[in-house]
Amino acid sequence: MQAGGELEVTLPETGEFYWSKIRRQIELEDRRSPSINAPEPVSARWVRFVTPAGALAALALFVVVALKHSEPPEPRLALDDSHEIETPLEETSSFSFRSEAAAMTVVWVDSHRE
Amino acid sequence: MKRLVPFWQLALAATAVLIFYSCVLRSAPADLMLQAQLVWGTNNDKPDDPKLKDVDQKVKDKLRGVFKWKNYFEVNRQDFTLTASAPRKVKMSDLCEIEVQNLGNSSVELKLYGKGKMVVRKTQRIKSGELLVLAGDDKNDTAWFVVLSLVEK
Repeated sequence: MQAGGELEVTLPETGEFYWSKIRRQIELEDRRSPSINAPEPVSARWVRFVTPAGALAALALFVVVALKHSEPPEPRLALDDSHEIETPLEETSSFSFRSEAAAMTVVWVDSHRE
Repeated sequence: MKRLVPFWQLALAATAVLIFYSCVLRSAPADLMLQAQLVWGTNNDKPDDPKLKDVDQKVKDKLRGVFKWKNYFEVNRQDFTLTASAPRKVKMSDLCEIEVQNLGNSSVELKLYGKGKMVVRKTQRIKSGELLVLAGDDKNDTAWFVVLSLVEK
């Protein structure tokens, strides 16, 4: 028992050997882990660049393909109701159709003449 | 040195801006060079009228492929540029007039006037090589056609 009330601990080895053990351990860990200031390998930088770029390219490709396939195929000759048509006169009527073969949209106006 | 913004966030932002501007540019209406033809269709031979001209073979073939008439004659033809600013009125005959408006994205609104009254109105996307045709019966089993198309550059 010491003056301050602390217990005196006796080390199993000498103090010099004890501290040299700690120093060797620190030196070993320094050799294992690379330095923080060491330059990043080129391959790692490429992976960091290619991964998001590839993801974006895949996303763009998906959007383009989805938009392309969302347009329904048009029939060769069909009544055309996809666009607005108006016949304000009471004595006339009209209907619209499209010929894919002739690449032509027709609005036929019927004036109900005898 | 540590980057303030990661690369993928910059790339994502750049892509979003690119898509936004491409959408804005696409929706901006461009001027359209159009041709309007008033055509008369009949099964008879060409009448002795110097005002009547033969229709372009391409247009004639297309009309023959869809309608029953054998012969098509051009009564009038008007080439005009359609800007995005205002609709354009084009007189096709003494009784017939059309009004065309550029809606952007290659879409047009076509109005047909007969004797000053609007007969029909149609909105349609118009592409190169395509025809937008307004048509109707005429006397003696003939027909009239207003053919609107893009002028080939």
